[in-house]
Amino acid sequence: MVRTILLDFVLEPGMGKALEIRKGQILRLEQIEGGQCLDFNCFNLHDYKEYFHAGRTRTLHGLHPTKGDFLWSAPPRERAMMFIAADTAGANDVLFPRCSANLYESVYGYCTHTNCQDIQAEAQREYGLTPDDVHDSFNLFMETGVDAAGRPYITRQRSKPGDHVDFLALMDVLAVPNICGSDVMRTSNFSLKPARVSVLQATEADLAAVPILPAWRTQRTVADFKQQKIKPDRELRRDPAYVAEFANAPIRTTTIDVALDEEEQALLGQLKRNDLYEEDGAALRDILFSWWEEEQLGR
Amino acid sequence: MTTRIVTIALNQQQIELVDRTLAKGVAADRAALIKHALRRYAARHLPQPGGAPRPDLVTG
Repeated sequence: MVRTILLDFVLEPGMGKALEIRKGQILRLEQIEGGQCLDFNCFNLHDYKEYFHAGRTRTLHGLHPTKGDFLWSAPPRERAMMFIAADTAGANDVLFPRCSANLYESVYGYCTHTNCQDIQAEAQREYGLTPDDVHDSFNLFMETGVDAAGRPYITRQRSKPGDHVDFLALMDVLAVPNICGSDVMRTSNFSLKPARVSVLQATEADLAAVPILPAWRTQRTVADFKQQKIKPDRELRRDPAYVAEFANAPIRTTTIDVALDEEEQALLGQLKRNDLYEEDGAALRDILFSWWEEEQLGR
Repeated sequence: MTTRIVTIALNQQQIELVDRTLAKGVAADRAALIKHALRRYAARHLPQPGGAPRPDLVTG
């Protein structure tokens, strides 16, 4: 079955576009000349407070999500928003934040320079969102890593004409791709180039390729919130009626006496992290949960 | 055989996890589970005589 093309246009350098992508549609972001980074963000179309979260996605899929991975929303929602159905370049990044005007002023001396924060903000303004609503992005066609000293780095990229990433929407989203504004860094090999944007109707085969995910009670919705109204003004004022309701607080401690025979005492003596724990009880607790992690989580 | 009592402090959330694990039949009670964890963890992480884990610690 052939995918139906619903929309197809060229996104020019310096620009971004907010697009309504319905559940079951595919957003394709494609290289035209090659070598161009794109930033991407998405929001639940029916509740903009649920949005793509780079940190959650990074935790689950690593620094370079690719085909078969998901784009997750921020806690406390934590739902799969989009599925990466294709990735021909394999060079995505969720380590770096979007570039910003301040970066280009503070490092390069520009009063005005194309940057992903401002391009995202301008594109999503079409839907009433503010610059504060721009979140850390999913960076496509961006070669990054972490050096031996633990510092993140960006290097030149190798994407070719026709390379593309397909995002299959698992919910209705407002998707906001933009051409990365960096022409004085290695990100896009020191130039700004257009990219092709297409919206396609997913086929049954596309949909069948999405792994079935479990549903969790902790994937919260607004109905779960104690505070459901979005604050309409900027000033913060204390609610005099507020009463704290932290889950499981106060934390209470129970002690358990464990009778260790001589062999078990010797095992504890050998396993005990003397660099961390003075008390044997604390060392034994560490062993208990370390075992549990290995046994139950396979870590 | 000389036994020694080691006191372990767990909060209610940690107790919940322990009790859910107990419900799977891993051990008879909380103390027994902790001893089981100690032996299993040692079998995996301590060098064994002859270089092989002790079979009585890695089965069951």
